[in-house]
Amino acid sequence: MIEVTELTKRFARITAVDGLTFTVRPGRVTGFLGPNGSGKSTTLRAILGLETPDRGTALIDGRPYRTLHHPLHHVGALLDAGAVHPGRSARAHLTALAVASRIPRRRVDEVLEQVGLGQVAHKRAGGFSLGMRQRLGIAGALLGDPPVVLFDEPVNGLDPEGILWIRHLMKSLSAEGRTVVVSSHLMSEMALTADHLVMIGRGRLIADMGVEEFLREHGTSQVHVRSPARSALAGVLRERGATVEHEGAQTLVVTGLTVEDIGDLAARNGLPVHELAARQASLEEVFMDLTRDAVEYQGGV
Amino acid sequence: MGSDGTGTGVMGTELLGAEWIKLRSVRSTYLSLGAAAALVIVVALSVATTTAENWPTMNARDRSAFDPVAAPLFGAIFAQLVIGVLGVLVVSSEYSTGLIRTTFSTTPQRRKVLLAKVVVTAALAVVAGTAILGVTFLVSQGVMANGHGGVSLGDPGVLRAVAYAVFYLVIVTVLAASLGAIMRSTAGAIAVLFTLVFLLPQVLDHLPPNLRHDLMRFGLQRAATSAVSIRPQVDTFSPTVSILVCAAYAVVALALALFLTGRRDA
Repeated sequence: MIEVTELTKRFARITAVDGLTFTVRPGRVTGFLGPNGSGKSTTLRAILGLETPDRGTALIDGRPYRTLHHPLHHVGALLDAGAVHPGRSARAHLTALAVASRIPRRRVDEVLEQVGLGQVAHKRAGGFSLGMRQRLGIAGALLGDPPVVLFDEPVNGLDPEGILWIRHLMKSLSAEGRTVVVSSHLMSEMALTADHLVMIGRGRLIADMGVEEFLREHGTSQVHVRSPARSALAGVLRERGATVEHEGAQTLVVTGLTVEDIGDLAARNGLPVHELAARQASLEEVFMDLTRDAVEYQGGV
Repeated sequence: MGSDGTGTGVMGTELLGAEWIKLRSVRSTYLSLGAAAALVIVVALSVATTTAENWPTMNARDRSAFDPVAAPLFGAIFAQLVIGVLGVLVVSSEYSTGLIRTTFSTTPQRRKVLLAKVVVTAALAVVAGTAILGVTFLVSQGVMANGHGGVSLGDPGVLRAVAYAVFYLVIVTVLAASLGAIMRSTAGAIAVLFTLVFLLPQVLDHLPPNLRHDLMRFGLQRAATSAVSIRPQVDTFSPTVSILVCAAYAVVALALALFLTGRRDA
């Protein structure tokens, strides 16, 4: 479990994290979300004892990170995939981490196999693609078989196969009862991976809730209806108070009525329906909406 | 604000082991040691050969001014920078790649990590320095043997001078690694190292005469030369005080590096 309480961190004139409080529980994947520059990495670095907060605390199972004995046994972290000496082999890099933490050396080959780098273990990391470096960073995070794992933007640079692999990995880690935190600026990725969301903007908490609850609260649901008689159907739906928009040649986008309501109405009026689908506003849209004010740099659109 | 956690029992041997793996798993270690060895030995051979050839025609004053230990070590003036770059890189490369965050989250006892790096690099410098300077001494004295200016380890002051030469390389290594931690950048640390080794002595040498005589003996280069000489030098301390002056540079830099590494965010 990770408990962040009233965490505040200032750099010169910028307050990167501002009184942030949240708790991350084991057994589920927690998505840590925010636009670029919202304080995600600063928060993660504070949790890992790399930065001293100006105020507040970050505790791992009740203890500050810096007091953990050989922390890799407690927390594994992927912070920056580029953080490898380019001249050092994947195996040597991990062996140094293992030796420093008194982790048996055989774990090095185990995690290299687990992340799919077994074949290139002896190769210099400088020649690795970004995706391979992400895998090497993840191997380092798993080295101590820790109950808590933190991944900062793990899907950056991964190919589709790699992205699937990491989603599966995070789900299986949380299914084993571990505390899993994945930071991302990509809401769509979180929609597929996370069970719970901690959303921040400008260093402050915006939301801390389950993904479904979050969508229910912030998302507006729409129904897409495809019908060869769509004008007549639109009239019927509007009579019942729905908001109806036309999309393409045959489709209506309906807000304010459920799929069941629309199906029943169409049947009662003898109107043919070829497709009827509920569509939730994507997390992406909700995310953009909620963080619009919190985005530090905005391009003119 | 200390970063060294409480309630931890990191012994340090695991840190030494990890740093040793890091040091021997990159090419730059072998390249810099090889370059330093080649530089020192080639220069020593050339100085010794020239001296041996000229010895029969040299007058008594020139012969007594010739330092058979220090003169062949002329190449070490440059080799110390090669070794220094190695010392800098041991710390600064972790900052330039971002690896330092992995290192410090693996071991939050940052000062112990820095000490482990310094100890391992210094130990390598002891071994490599003894090997390089030992071979250099044997080869150059071999060339100058049989009455051509050479000395043996048993002669007065010779063993001390060779030992201090090794010690000096170790001092430069510790100074360089400390500068790497203070500057957190390879270029910055090397610039400061050059300044301390080459520029600061130049400045001291150009002070007004009364100050100059008092201060130039504190210059790193002059103190190092005095420490490895078996002939008395002007405006210097004794060899032993000179090597302690050199060591003071490293001790001050290391203390500052430990202080800053414990305080700063990573």
